Amino acid sequence: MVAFSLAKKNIVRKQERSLLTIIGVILAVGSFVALLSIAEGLNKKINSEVKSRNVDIYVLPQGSASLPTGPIGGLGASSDDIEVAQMLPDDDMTLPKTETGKPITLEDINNFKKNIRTAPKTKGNFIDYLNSEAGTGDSGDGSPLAKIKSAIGVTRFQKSIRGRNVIFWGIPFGFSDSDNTTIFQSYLPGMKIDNGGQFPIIAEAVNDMYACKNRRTASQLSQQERVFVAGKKIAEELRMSMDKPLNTNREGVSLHLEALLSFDAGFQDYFCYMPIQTAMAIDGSYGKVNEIWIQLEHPTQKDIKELKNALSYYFPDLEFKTSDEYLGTSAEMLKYAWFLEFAIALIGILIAMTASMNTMLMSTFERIREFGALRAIGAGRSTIASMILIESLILSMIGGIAGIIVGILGSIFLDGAVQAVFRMSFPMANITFNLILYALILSGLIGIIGAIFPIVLVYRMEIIKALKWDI
Amino acid sequence: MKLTLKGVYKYWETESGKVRVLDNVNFSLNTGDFIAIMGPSGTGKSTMLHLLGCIDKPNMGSILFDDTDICALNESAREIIRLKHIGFVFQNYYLIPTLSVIENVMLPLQLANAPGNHLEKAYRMIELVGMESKINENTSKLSGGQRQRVSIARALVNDPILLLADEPTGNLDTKTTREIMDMIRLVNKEKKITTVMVTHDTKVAQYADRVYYLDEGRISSANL
Ligand SMILES: Nc1ncnc2c1ncn2[C@@H]1O[C@H](COP(=O)(O)OP(=O)(O)OP(=O)(O)O)[C@@H](O)[C@H]1O
Ligand SMILES: [Mg+2]
Repeated sequence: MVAFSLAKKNIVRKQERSLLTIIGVILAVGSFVALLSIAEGLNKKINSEVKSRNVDIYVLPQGSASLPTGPIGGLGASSDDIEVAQMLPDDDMTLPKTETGKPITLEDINNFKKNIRTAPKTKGNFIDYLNSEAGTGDSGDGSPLAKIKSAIGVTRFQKSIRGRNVIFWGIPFGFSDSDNTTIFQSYLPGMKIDNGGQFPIIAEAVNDMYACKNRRTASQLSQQERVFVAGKKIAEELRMSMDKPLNTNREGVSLHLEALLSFDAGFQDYFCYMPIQTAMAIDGSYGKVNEIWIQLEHPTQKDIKELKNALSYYFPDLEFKTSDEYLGTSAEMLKYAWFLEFAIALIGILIAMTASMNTMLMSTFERIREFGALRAIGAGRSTIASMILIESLILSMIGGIAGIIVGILGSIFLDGAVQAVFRMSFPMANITFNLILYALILSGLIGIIGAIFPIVLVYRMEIIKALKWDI
Repeated sequence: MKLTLKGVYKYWETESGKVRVLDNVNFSLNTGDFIAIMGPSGTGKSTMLHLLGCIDKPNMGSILFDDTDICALNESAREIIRLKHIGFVFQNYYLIPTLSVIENVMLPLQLANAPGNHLEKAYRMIELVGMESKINENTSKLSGGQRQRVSIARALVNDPILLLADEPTGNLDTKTTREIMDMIRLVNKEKKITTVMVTHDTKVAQYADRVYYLDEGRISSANL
């Protein structure tokens, strides 16, 4: 109690210096909170987007960009140029072999899908096959491999509309094989029709792969195929409407907006979607997809893993990723960003620690006689140590709390900047409980570290020397 | 409290070698004794009070409070003795500059967690030294004499059994000196506080029961 009031008195007495220390802590903690809130927010967004998809296995070209999703991915690599890796199944074989050097076609993908479906039904046989063909593999537990329910090819390209890069997804606009829903909704279950409009179903697209068999240009698309749907955010931003056709700038073909979609999570409100054949015709990327999405019959974590491993073995030129791994690669990229931001923030924290250490040490040297006097009238060393600690903690916690507030404001500002860069109009910053907790712990740490030196000094100093100390 | 010094030596290590300040000092006081120590500047009067006040330790010899050798105690025991049993009026006052007059006087009570109303007790002490008009003044704004009076109030507030006063009237005018000395004399007699006072003033020294003379490290009785 005495220590507390003495500490308070000293803070008030040395207002300027106290203020400087507090400002140092505010800057450090503020930048920590602001920078990391953006990283946290980005993480959360991508997480929720990938989680909102109903995809069990992703098939990607080998070594494709790690951020294949979202406006970030769209901005990162020119992902519309990535082709599915070379793979050509042998027609004569029930199970396709890989052969590099030839580009994959959609028909190949469809064959691949059929072939997997007709693969030996028990794991034992499958593994036998692996063993006989390649001499590796695990005999496993004899349970059958999971059946593939459906697989679709998905394309993605970017297009500048009114100066804004919009990401278009090409995806089959047909009915799902087994479910009584559209393929679209089966893979993106969070989708809702926003207001009015109807999701267009294209009969020929029931089997997406065949629908794309023949190379067509945009002008060869049927009227029924010249459609798209848009996430409501991008539609709002670009003032798209169902009465206004979207000019594709290619052979004068324009697309009609059929519905506005809203999703629960992620960046999907910022995407436009069109039938896969339309996307290919407009993008000029016939027969190529960016990703293949696979759903299993009754997916369990174990089944997904087993099938993924088997597929990876069969098609070494492709990458197979579970939903988590797909997210993981995105998350890994984010982790780098997070660490970078953390490192920057850490420099700030270190500077604040040094500043606070300096302040406390200066303040201690100035007050050595005073400490001597306190001890001479009977104050214990622990009283003086707690006085120094309390003083340092008060300064760092005031700075920390103010820093959190500044950080939140800063994150709103940064958010604006990030939104301007990525052209999105939803808040990205995510101030989590953990982030605030870390910030408070760090503030406390700044205070404690600032107090350590002076406390050691006070413990070592003899009273008589302290009393005769000359500044 | 009985106070006994046995063969106390104190020297300082300086660049030019050992400087002997106290050279085999022996004396003893009974409970309630009041002595004055005189001597030229720089002979070690303050040093001796610091030893008695558990602020410093002698290089040799022992200092007994009743039967306890305070030099053999550990630091926390000495802290308690300083806080609860000794009142020290320093030559340089050593008031806490961030605190007001009343806060300075209350400090020993707070540190000792003393029972009763700290504010009331402190105020009574301040009244005794005639500083009640300045209770909320910051001590850094006081004159030397005023500081001296506050430091006397602080020394007495915890009801010490040993009062050590290093030139308690060094900065006071004759009238205040008389008042303060009357007061010290009074508490010494009333509460039987063993009192050791350093002074340069023979008139002040006459308030004491006995006067010692310290020179060249040795102490001797003086007759005024
Ligand atoms: N920390 C120290 N280190 C070295 N020498 C010291 C130290 N403290 C005091 N001295 C020396 O010890 C001697 C005694 O000092 P002290 O303060 O006890 O004298 P004093 O009798 O109280 O003098 P005054 O009447 O002027 O107050 C002096 O010569 C002083 O220089
Ligand atoms: Mg002296």
